[in-house]
This record gives sequence, structure tokens and C-alpha cells, in this order.
Amino acid sequence: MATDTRISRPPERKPPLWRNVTVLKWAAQLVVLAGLIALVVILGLQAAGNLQAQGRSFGWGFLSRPAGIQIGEGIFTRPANGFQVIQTGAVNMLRITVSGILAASVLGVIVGVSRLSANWLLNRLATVYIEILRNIPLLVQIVFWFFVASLTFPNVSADQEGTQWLVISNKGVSIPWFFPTETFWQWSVFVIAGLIAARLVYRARIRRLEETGADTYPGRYAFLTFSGVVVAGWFLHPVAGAVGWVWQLLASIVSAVPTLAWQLALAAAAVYLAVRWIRRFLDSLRSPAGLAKLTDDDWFRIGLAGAVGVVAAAALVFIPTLTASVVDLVDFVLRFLDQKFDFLRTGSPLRFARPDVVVPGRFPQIGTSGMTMTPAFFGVWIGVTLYTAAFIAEVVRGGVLAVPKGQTEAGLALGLRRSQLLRMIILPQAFRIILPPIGNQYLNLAKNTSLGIAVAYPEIVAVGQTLANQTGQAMQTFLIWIVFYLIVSLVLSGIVNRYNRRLALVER
Amino acid sequence: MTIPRVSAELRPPEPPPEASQLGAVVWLRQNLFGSVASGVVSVVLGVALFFMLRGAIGFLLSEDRLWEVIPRNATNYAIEGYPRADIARIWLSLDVILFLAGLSMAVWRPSGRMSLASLAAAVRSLGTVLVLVGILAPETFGSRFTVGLVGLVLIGLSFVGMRLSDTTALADRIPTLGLIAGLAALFLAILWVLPIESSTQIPYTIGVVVALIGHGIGRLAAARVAPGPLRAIVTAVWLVSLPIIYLHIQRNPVVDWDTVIGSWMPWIIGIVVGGLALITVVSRSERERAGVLNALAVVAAIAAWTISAPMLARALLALLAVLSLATPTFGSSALGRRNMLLTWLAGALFASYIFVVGDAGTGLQTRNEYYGGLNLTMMLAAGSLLLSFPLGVLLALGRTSTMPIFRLLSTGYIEVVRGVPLITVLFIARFGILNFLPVNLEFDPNVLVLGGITAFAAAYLAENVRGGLQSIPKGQYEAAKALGMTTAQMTMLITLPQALRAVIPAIVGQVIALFKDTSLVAIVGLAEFFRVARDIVPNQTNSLGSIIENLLFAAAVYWIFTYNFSRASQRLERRLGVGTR
Amino acid sequence: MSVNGRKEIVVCDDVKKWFGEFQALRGISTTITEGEVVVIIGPSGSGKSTWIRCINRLEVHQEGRIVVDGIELTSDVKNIERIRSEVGMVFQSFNLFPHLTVLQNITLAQTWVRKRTKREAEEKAMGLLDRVGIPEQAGKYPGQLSGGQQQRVALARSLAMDPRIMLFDEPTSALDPEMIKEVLDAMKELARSGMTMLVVTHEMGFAREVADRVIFMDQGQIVEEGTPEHFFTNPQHDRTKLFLSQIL
Repeated sequence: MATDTRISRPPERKPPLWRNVTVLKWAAQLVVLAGLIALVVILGLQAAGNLQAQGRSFGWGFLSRPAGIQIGEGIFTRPANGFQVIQTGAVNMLRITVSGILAASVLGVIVGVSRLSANWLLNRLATVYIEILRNIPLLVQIVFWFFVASLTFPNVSADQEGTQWLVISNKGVSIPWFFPTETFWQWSVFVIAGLIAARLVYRARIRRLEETGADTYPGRYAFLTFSGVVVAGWFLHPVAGAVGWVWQLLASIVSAVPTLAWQLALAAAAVYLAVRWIRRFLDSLRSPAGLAKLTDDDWFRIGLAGAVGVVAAAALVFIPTLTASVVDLVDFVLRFLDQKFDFLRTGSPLRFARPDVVVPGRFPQIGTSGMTMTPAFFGVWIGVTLYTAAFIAEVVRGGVLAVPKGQTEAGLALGLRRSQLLRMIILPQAFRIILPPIGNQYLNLAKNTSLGIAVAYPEIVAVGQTLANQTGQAMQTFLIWIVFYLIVSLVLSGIVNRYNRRLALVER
Repeated sequence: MTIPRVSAELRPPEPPPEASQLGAVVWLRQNLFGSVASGVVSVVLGVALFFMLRGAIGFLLSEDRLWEVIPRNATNYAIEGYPRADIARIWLSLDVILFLAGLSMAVWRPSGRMSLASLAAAVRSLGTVLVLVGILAPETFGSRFTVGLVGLVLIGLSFVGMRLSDTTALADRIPTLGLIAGLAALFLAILWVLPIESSTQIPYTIGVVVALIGHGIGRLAAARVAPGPLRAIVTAVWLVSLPIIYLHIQRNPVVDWDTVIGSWMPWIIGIVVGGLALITVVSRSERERAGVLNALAVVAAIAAWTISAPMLARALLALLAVLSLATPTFGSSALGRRNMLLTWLAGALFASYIFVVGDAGTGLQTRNEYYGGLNLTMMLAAGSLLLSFPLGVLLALGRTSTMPIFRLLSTGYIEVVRGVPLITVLFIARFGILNFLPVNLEFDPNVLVLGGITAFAAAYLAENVRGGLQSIPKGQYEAAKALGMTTAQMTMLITLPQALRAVIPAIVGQVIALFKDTSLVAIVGLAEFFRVARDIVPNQTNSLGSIIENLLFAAAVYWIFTYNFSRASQRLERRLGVGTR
Repeated sequence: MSVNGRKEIVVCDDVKKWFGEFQALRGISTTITEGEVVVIIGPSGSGKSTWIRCINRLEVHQEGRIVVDGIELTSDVKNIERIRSEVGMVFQSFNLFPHLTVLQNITLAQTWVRKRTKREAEEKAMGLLDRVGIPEQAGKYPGQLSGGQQQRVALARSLAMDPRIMLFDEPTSALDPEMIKEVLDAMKELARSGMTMLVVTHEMGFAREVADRVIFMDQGQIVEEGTPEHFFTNPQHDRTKLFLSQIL
């Protein structure tokens, strides 16, 4: 070293392949990927072999065949086929999810704010509520509420016969309810139109407010617009029968185009997506000085994206059933929608009905006219609501506490009242902090409805399990579960993320 | 007023005014009747609370309740189907855990001390509850006067304690450990004086004595060994003892020594010796030769799956491949080489032991599901936590990696598993996985379900660890790189330890969730604690109609565990100061 | 109630305050007249901030009397609200509302407390933004502004309420050096317009230039008070000398 002090330019030599970091990284990744694919193929072949040995095969036919299952409650209590079984379970799951999310949010906010109250008793009660509810497994709570309802609620008695406003019994809690009729779909067009119109009016009023500074009551105007359209739709809904033509037209277009054309279109779309990804990737590397020199890593990424696009396109072109099933599904949905619209249908879109008690033989029963919350529904609903509310309460409390103290002081120094301060300064800021964890709680609630299986509430896991036992098609049921829950999760987190982005504080 | 004005000298501080000493009336006014609205809320809540409490206490203490079912089924709740003839094995497992608990207490020396005042406050709350129960209990509850009287006595005692804590400096701080020991002694004394159930006195006494011995040994060790290595050793003993308890002590394995010695031993000895040689050579080699050797080790590990080697040999070769890959990074110094060799030796021997014991049939005279009750619950919780840890950390590293395929695979796994409910994962594990395996492979349902919970927990753990990894400042990575560390060294020595420490509270929170989630395995037919309460006990002919009592008991047991867990995690969070740094 | 023909606007009489066992204020007695600019200096922990926070009751004093504009501060909610709408305050950490635009920050309390119409409030706000030199930032969010700009918005927000007294709690302590000047300039302009101001600050230049009176506090009490000339040329008390020698 000491002898050679000349500054020499190091020879520009690429390292050998086995010492090139990029090559090594990608080799490791591809080896793992290949190993995983091999594992999946081996397991799949094994599964196929196992099925064959048992004389069974993997298929979706059971969805269209009669299921021979009765379901305790839901839209189809005697489903005609496997698909209706799944549909009933899905709707039952969504019923609890939606109503549970609403109830848990209200209760959770109340408990969370109580936890911050200066009133000792309220504060302590809220604390006790949270500490008890969130430290007992939800399953125990659901089963407990189910047994409370079915063991301690009174029997239906014969002297309750006739129409009632409210029936509480060990067969369930019955309340009056609105039921959609066959014209509901036509009316729903007006509901959607009302929402759009209300939004337009709201924006217009806001613009007016910004221009003139006068109070323009955008909220009230929007609400009145919505109500007006919806009420008008109540009487004018047959007009919406025209929408049926649109569906019909679309359906005939979809089925008129040959499958090959769809195949090519989808394949082209796959290639287009890959090309677009590559182009965007290249754009992201482009600086004002021109395209940066691509590293080996970048080349690998581009190659991989291209390969995925080409393979997907090839699969679409060479395996027509893939495309055919998608087209069939779209066609099915369009024709289904088409049936729901007709000029000649009249009558109110919603039917109001009160629960009734009937005595068909010796034993009085709850009739079918009202909305009945069975003990199983009651158990799951109360269970997930109370449980999730405890977690939401903690989130709310944390969010309010996370608003800096200086905000309160600044508000007070300006002379705002406590209530104004809470409404205009603290809660809007706390809400931003609260929203992401609340979204997680909503997801948890949706997933926790699956515990309904423990009290035989026919949600999607329970009916899927029955269907799997009945038909022996367990694999398909598992797939249906996974896809269903992933869709629900995606939709819920999509909604939460949307609001989250909207509410995000603007920073430098 | 005239200025300039100068005050002659500074005034000394004064004590706060007397009015801030809260009297009962002031307290009430501040906390219950601060404003009109607050007063209304207090009154309404107070009345509602009175009726709710009276209803609840009346329900719990009613003559119709079948509470005697619970003590009668205590053993069922603890172990359910475990053969009663072998119950000594359960006690032995408990003694091992108590011993380790006593040892750990001494080694970690929790400096918990309780002031007499707070102890008195706790006693007073207990007394208040008892008095309330005595007042609100239904007429039919015979011992309501006794209960109320005991409550009054406790309240009286608490006031004595308060006075003492005011006057004597000596009684100010009571060590928590001493308190626990005292309570245990009291419990034993009651057991021996009142013969409630004669058979349990002896094992309980042994348990307490064992815990005390463990504590004594721990203190001796703590006086001689540095705390760092000692804690590492005790942690390792905990980790090792759990599989031993569940695979060896409780299963009573019947090992077929002929097979083990005849066809396994040559493999074990060969691979262990070969591994020692390989690690030594690799650690002394140039970078490129080490690479070639490592590649050979990996090839050998993969090749073992294609020839008919025993499962044990395949596992050992895989372990060897991993260690040999790590050797150039961590084993290049003399100390590092020694540690690598020791790790390999210990890991290989423990893995061999687990395989020998796990492969052996059980010597218990029973049906297949020999785990049950709270024992099974504990096993599932502890087992899935231990097993999910390495998987979760790997997934977290994969998700934060710069390599797109690893990132994609990890993200996909994590998001899919977190998107579906645990119960579907359990169904798939219990009834789905077997469809993909050769028909002659048989798995214990407990193992399948444990696998399901592990796969589920790993995804959540990975997200927690990822949070920790992302919370590490970029400067840490840059500093590590600037010191010339490789990516593996940086991860293992710098970032991962910090990330794990940062997420300890989150992980404890996940342990709580995991513990609660074990109740779900009741749905797929395992006889764990909740299933005992839900199905097994209420369906006994002499326990019919006791479902609500059993559910309440189960809820209480879960609550005690999780509540204390979460209190501990809050204390830990405060002590680590996570989030404040 | 007037001294030299000027109205007394803040009267403190032996004000004491404890945080638990710690006594933060050990009897503050002084009187501030209308239009006076008072600068309060002293080492940290000397009770300066606590005192001025007592004046609009962000902290509650336990003994003594505080009378603001003829209204005594008691636990009467009505009095507190009246005083708070007469007394403006600027904080060390700005405390702008991050979810509202600059304009909304300034109009919010005007519409809800002063019951002004939206147009009046916005005109007032734009005028004040003009006065503090940042009319072009009206539509931005606080997070998009520099510290100095934020503090000037906070000043405008307080002034929009037409306060009779302004309290400043170390308004420049959280700012970078190059931004301190722009805030101090706005405060000097305000002082010249005749506003009554109580300013806790470490900016001695500001004290020298615009203060009518300087108060030195230590250990929760007023050690020395006087005109800036008296203070910076001829301090009397040893504590004052020591403090000034450390800070100047």
C-alpha cells in the first residue's frame, strides 16, 4: 500500500454474477416464489387425488342445485338452491354488521364521553362498563345473552293474540317494520336521484354562500330537495320502469358480443394495465434532467410486470371459461335488475307492518308480519354491540385526550362556551384521530358476527358450514367465506379511508 | 401607586389554604353536583344503579341458582378429559411453572411495594362491597347478616390501617411479594384447618413450597450471576419448559427406543457432528468458499425431502442450513464461532428431543383428546404465541423488505388472514387442511387447531412488529450501514431489537386478545375451558339448568386473567415509557 | 377608579395560587391602567405565565382578588365569559385551530361569541390580516404557514374580538430568530395604537422600546417594577441585577 501512492482510476468491471447484489436478491426471491408455487401445485394435485379417491369432484354445481336446508331466519327460510343459502347467510351477516355498527358507535361515543365526565358516578360507571365488557371473550358474552333471551324472556301467551306493537318473548323480540314491496327497486332509483340532486343543491348553496356571505342554509336546502324527490318518487315510481330498458339493452349487448371478443378485450386490458404500470414506473424515474439510468433492480421490476401482464392475457385468451364465467355473471346481474322494473307496477314501495301473535293450534306463536329479532339475533347483536362499544369508547376517550390542551385554552381565551368549544374545536379534531382506529373496530365487528355460529344464528359461516356438511363441498365453502369477508373488509376500509383522506389535516 | 417600586425581600412560600383539603360535602359538590345537569345525572344514575345492583345481587344469590355445580366440576374445568389416574402429571406441570415463577420473581426482582394506605383502601373497598351485598341481598339469602358483618369488620380494619399508616413510618411500605406469600400461607392454613376437600391440601402445599424454593434459588443465583445472562437463561428455561410440559410430562410418551436408536440415532449423530464441522469450516473460510459451502448446505436440506429420510433428519438439515447461512455474519470472531457452535448443538439436541417425544404415542389410557379445560386453553394461548413469534417477525421483515416479491407475498398473507374471522381459519385448519395432505397422515385435532391459531396470530403480530420497525428513525439504519454492518447484522442487532422493545405493549395487548380468542376453538369441537362451561357441565344429568351459572363463572375466570394482564401491560407501558420518548 | 386621569383596567390584590403543595404565586399586587404596555420578565418558573393566565381565568387563583375592567373574577360563569371576550390572548405555541382555514380561525369566535354576520366577520378578518401583513394567506390552513405567520394569525384572531386588553404569553419563544422580528413588529404597531398589553417575554429590546412599565418576577412575586430606563440603567434589587446580568 505504502509503495503505490498514485491515484489510479479503478478499472470499471462488473462484479461476477454470484456477487452481484441485485442478481442474488432476485434469485432468492424467484427461488422462494417457485418453491411456493411448487408447494401449491403439489398440494393441489394431492387434494385432487384425494377427491378422486373419494369419488368426488371440485365444482360449483351445488350452488344451483336444491340444498335441502331450512334456515331459521332471513330472506329465504327455505332456500331453493345453494346460492340462496349463501345469500341468506350473507344478508343475515350484513344485518347484524350494519345495525351493530350504528348502535355500537352511538353507545361507544356516549360511554367514551362519560369516561371523560367530571361527574364521578358517570365516570366510574363508564370505566366499569369498559373494563368488564372488553375483558370477557365476546363468544362468552354472545352465548350468555342468547341464553338470557331464550331462558328468561316470557313465553308467548294466548291472550296476546292479534296485532301488537311490541312482543318480547323467548321466541324473539318483535317490532313494527317497513318491508320493501315489488315496486321498491323502482322507488330506489328516485332515492339515488334524490341523493344526487341534494348534493348538487348543497354545492350550489355553498357557492352562493361563498359569493355573497349571506346565510344560505345549504344543509336544509339539500335535505328538502332529497325529501322532495323521495316523496315524489313514492307516487311517480312507475316512471322509473324506463330504467328497465337500459338494463335490457345492456344485457342484450353483453350476450350479443361473442365470447372471443370479450376474451380479446380483457386480454388487451391486461396488457394495457401492464404497459401503463411500466410507463408510470418509468415516469416516476424521469427527472427534469432526463430518464435516470435504469438499475438492474428496475429492469427486473419492469420484466416482472410485463410477464404478469402477458401471462394474464394468455390465460384469458387460451382458457375461454374464465371469460365466459365473468360474462355470465354480468349477464345474470343485468337480467336480474331488468326483472325489477316495470311500468305497470304500482303501489307503495314500502309496506308498514306490525307484529302479530297467532294461535294456529294449542300453542301461541309469533306471526310473520312484523320484524322479529330471534334470541340468536338478539344474542349476537347485543353481544357485538356492547363489546365493540367498549372498544370504541376507549378510542373516543383517547382521541379527545389527544387534542392538545392549547386548543382548549385558545378557545376559552376567545370566549367560546364549553359546549361550543367541544362542538367546534375539540370534536372535529378528535374525530380525525379517532377515525382510523374506529374503522378497525368496525372491521372487527363485521368479522365477529361470525361467532353467531355458536348460537345457531344463520350468518354466512353458519350456513356455509351446514351447506358444506350437506353437500360435502367444504373447499368451495371456505373459498366463499374468504372472498365474502375480504369484500366486506375492502368495502368497509374503503369507506373509512375515503373519509380519512377527506379529513386529513393540511400540512406543509 | 408609585413606581419604581422594589420589594424589600422575597416572601417565603406558604402552605396551601385549608379549603383545598376536601371534606365529604365539598367532594360531593365537586364530583356529583358540580352543575344542575351533573346533579340530575347523579340522581338518575344513582337510582338506576340501586335497582340494577339489587336485581343483579338478587339474581346471583337467589335460591334458584345452582352454584354448587361449579365446585363439583372444578376438575372438569381445569383439565376436562384428562385421565384422573394420571392427575399427578398435571400437578407436576403446575409445580414446574410455580418453580419457574418463583425463580423469575427473584431474578427480575419486581420492586413492587404497596403502601399500607393503599392496602387499607383495597380492604375498605372489599368491605364496602360486602356491606352492599348484605344490604341488597334477597330475604331468602340466609347469610346476608354474616356477609354484612364481615364487611363492617373489614371497613373497621381499614380505618385502623389508615391511622397506622399516618402514625408509623415502619408500616408504610409492604413488599408485594411478601403480601402474596402471606396470602398463600393464609390459604394453606385455611385448607389444613377446614378440611374442604382433603385430597387437594397436599399438592397445593407442595406447590407453594416449590415456588418458595424457586424463589430462594433465584435469589442465590441473582447474587452470583450477572443479571443479563441470568435473565437470558431463565427466559430460555421458560421457553424450553413449555414444550416439555405439554409433550413430555402431560403426554407420558411411550418411546420406541429400538426405532430411535436403530434408525434415527445414526442420522442425529451424523448431522450434529457434520454440522459442527461445517460451521467451524464456514466461520474460518473466505467469503466465496463459505458461500459455496452454504449453497451445499441448502441443497442438502432441500435434497433431504426427495429421499426417504426421517422427518427429524430433514428438520435438522433445515436448521443447519439456516445456521450455516448466518455463520459468516455472526460467527466470524472466536466468540461468535463458539456461540454458533453452542446454538447448533443446543438447537439440534432440543429439536431431536421434541421429535422423539412428539413422535411417540401417548401412554395415557384415554381417548385421543387428552388435553382439556383450562389446561388446553393455556396450552393453545402459550403455544400459539411462541410459534407465531418467529413467523410473525419473518412476515414483518418481509413486508418492510425492499424485495418486491417477498413484500407482495407477506402483504398478501397478512391482509388475507386479517381480513377473515378467526373462526373461518379454525374451520379451515380443522377440516380443510387434511384434504390437501396424503390420506395416511394423521394429525391430532389439538395440533391442527393450534396451527390455525398460530397462522392467524402471526399475521396480527407481524403488523405490530411492522409498526415497531417503521417507528425506528432512519438515522439508526444509516448509522448501522456507516459502521459497515451487513443488512442481516443491521436487522438482527440494531433494528429488530429496538422494534420489538417498542411494541411490547402492543404485543401484550395481542396476548390478551389471543387468550380471549382461544374460546373459539370450542366451536370446532375442542374441549377447552369455555366448552366445559357451555356444553359439558350443563349437560350432566345432575347439573341441568345451570347454563347461566356456568357461563357467568367462565366469564369471571376469563375476566380475572385478562384484566390482570391488561393492568400489567399498562404498568409495563408506563415503565418502558413507550410513546414518550 | 382612576390614576392620573387614566382608568384602572386590571387590579390584582394579593393574588395567590398553589399547584398542589407548590406555591406558584405568593401574593401579586399591582394595578394596570388603560393603554399601558407592561412587560413581565423573570426566570422560568417564576410564575409569570401563571399570573397572566389567571387574568383571563385559564388558571384559577385561590386567594386574593383580580378585577378586570370593573368585573371581579369569581367562579360566576357569566363574569368569566364577559371577561374572556374582553381579554385577548396570544400563546407561545400559537394554538391555531388546525382543522380550520386562517380565515375561519379568525371568524369563528366573532360569529359565535360576538354574534357578527359572516360578512362582517370576514371583512374584519381580512382587515386584520392586512394589518399583520399576510392577507394572501387567508385561504390556507395553519399547517401550511411558517411559525411567524401562524403567530401573526393568532394575533389577528385575538384582535378580531375587539379586546380591551391583550395578554401575550411568551409569543416569540417558539419561533426561529428570523421570524421573531415580524411578530414583534406587529406587536409594536399594536402597542402604538394604544392597546393595553401585558407581555411575558424574554425580548429585552421590545421591553426597552415600547414598554411603559417593566415588572420583574421571581419565586411567584413581583420583585421590582419600574420604567424601562429605571430598569435597564439602575436596577435596585440584587435578584434583578443578577437576572439582567445573565440575560443581557
